[in-house]
Amino acid sequence: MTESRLIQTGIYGLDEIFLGGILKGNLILVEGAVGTGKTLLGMEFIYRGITEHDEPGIIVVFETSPRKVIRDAGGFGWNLDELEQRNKLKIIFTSPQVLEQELRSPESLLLETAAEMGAQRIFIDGISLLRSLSTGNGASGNGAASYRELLQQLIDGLQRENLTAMLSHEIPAHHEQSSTFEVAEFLADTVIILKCEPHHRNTHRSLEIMKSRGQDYEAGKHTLRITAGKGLEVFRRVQLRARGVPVQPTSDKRSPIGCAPLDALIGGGIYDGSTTMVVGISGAGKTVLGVQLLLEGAVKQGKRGMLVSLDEHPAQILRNAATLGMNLKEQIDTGMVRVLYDSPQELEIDAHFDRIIRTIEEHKIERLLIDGMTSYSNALADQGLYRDFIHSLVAYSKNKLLTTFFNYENPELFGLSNYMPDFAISSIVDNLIMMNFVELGNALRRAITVAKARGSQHEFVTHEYTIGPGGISLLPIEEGKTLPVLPFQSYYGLLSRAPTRLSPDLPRGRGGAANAEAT
Amino acid sequence: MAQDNQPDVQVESWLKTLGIESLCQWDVLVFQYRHQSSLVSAEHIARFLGYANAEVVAALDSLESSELVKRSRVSQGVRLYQVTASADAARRDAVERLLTFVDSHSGRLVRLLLARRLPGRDRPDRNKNDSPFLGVKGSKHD
Repeated sequence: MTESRLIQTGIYGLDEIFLGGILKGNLILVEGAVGTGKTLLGMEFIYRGITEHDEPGIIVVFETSPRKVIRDAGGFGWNLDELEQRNKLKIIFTSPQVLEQELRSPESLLLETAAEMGAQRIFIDGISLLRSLSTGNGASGNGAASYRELLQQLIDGLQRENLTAMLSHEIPAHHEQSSTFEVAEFLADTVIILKCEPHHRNTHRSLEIMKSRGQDYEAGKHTLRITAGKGLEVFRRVQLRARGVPVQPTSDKRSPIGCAPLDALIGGGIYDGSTTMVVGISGAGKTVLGVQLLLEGAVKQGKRGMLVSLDEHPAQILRNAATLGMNLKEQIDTGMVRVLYDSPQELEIDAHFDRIIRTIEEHKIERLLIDGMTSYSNALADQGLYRDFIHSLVAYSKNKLLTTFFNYENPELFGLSNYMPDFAISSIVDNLIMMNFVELGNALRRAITVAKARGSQHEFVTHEYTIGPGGISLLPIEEGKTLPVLPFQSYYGLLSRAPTRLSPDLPRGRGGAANAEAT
Repeated sequence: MAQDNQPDVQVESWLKTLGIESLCQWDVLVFQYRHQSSLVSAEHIARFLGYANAEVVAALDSLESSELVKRSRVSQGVRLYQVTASADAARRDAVERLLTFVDSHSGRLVRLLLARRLPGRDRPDRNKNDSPFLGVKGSKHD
C-alpha cells in the first residue's frame, strides 16, 4: 500500500482547503495575534492526530500551565488526561532556553521522550519567545545565535526526528510586518495566518494559507469558527470555484412544478437541474409556490427537497403550509424535505454556504428552495459577498443538477420596472417567474407571468391566480373571451409601459399609423 | 476534640501518608502536578517558586524517594520531571485527595496548615488555634 504523501490535520474543513492535507515533512507555522486561536489549532492538530490517525503527539508549552491546557481542551470534549495516561500524548512545560539547548543536544530528553512514545506530531506553542534569546535577525558576531539561526536549529532538530511539527508564532495586534516574522515565515514550509478582525460591531475570525511548499491549496481568507464542544471549524470562502468539477451536466428531462397550469405556461414543466427566479412583492405567494415545488418533488416524484430560510422559523413555515392544507410536516418527518433556518443576524456566509452544501450532499437533495434572497442582501450588507454567494449557489446547484427556486422580494407593489433593483442576476438563472399584485376596482388581485424559460416554448400570457387550499391556482382563461392579438400599430405609447389600444375608428396617419393627437 | 472527618485532621493524615513535611515539598509537588511533565532544572523551579535552590533540590529528592515524582537523567542541566501514580492505593488516594484542593480555595489552606507546622517565612500571623479551614463546612478548632 502506498503511504499517503499528505498529513491530515483532522480539523473540520482545514484539510479541504489544503486539498487533502499538508505535505508530509512540511514544517507548519501558525501566526496570529493573541486570541486568534493559535494554541487551539495546535492542540487540535495533536488531538486529532492521536484520536483519528493513531499518531502520538507532544505539546510543548512555555507560558501556559499544562493543567490549563488540559482543562481548556475539556471544554471541546477532548480528554487529554486520558491520552496522557495511555502514553499517546505528553504535554511538556519548559523554557525557550531549555528547548533551544535540547534540540541542539544529541542526547535531548525531549527527543528521547518523543522516540519512546512513538510521537509523530509535535506542537510548540509560542516560538516567538525564542527571540528573547537571540541577538537579532542577522549574524550576531558575538557568539550568541541570531533569531534565524535559532529557528533553523529548532527546525533541523525536529526534522532529524521525523516529527511533523506545528509551531505557533505570536504577532502583536496592529503590528507592522517586521523582519522577525518574515524570518519565521521564510523558514517554515507551510504558513497559516489566523486573524480576528472587527466586523461591524462583531468580530470575524479568518484563516489564510500564506504558503505551503510543494502543494496547491485554496488561497484567500476562509472563515474560522471556534465552537464549544467541537473545536475549530474552517469554512471555505464562498467565492471559490469548485475544483475537479467536470463539464457542467445538463438534463433533458422536465418535471412538474406542482401546479399544472403553470407547468403548461412554462412549456411543460421545468428542466431538472434548472434554476428559477421567482420575483414578486411580499405577500405575492412566492413561498407557497416554492413549497408546492418541494411537495410535488417529495410526494409524487420521490425527490428530496430542502427549504432554506433566513426569514421564517421552521415552525412558522409548517404552520403556514398547514393553513393551506399542504402537509409539509409529514414530508419533513419522513426525511423527504428538510428545512434549514439560519438567523440573518450576524450571518457568517461561508459557514452558511457550507451548511447548505453539506445538507444537500448528506441527504441527496434534488429540489432546493432559497426563500428570501433579499434577506441575504440585507444580512450581508456587502454587495460583493452577496453576489459571490448567489453565483456560487447557482453554480453549485447547476453542477449537482438541483432544481432550484430563488425567491426574490421585489420592492415594487404594482408592476415591475426592474427584475432585481439591488443586484441583477436574472441573466444567470434559466427561468423567471413574475408574481405581481394588480389593483382592479378596490381590490388587489394577483397575476403571474413567465418572463423567461430557457430552452422552452413558454407562453407570455399573464394569468390571474389565487392562493387557497393546496397552494396557488391559476384561473383559467375562458376560450372566446380573450382579447385578440393585434399588431403593434394597433397601440400607442408602446415605450411608456402603459400602451393604449387605438380605436379602429380613429383616423390613420401616414404609413397606416394612427394619429394619436387626433384623439 | 477533632473528629477524623474534619478537614484539618484529614489533610494532616494525607500529608503524613505521603511523607510531606514542608511547605517547600508541597509547593514543588503542586508545581509538578500543574505542569505534569516539565523539562526544567531545579534552579528553574526554585526561581519560579521563590525558594532557595538547595531547598528545592532536597524537596525533589524527598518527592522522588516517596515515588510522587519521577526524574530523568540530566541533560544540558535539566531533567524531565513527571508526576507519578503510586502503586500503593492509600498513597494514591491521599495524593488524589490533596491535589483536588489545588484548583480550589482550599489549596491555600493546605499551605497555611503546613506553614503553621514549621517555623519559617510563610507562617501566618494568627492564633495557632485558628483553623486554616475557616469557612469550610465542618471545620472545628482543636
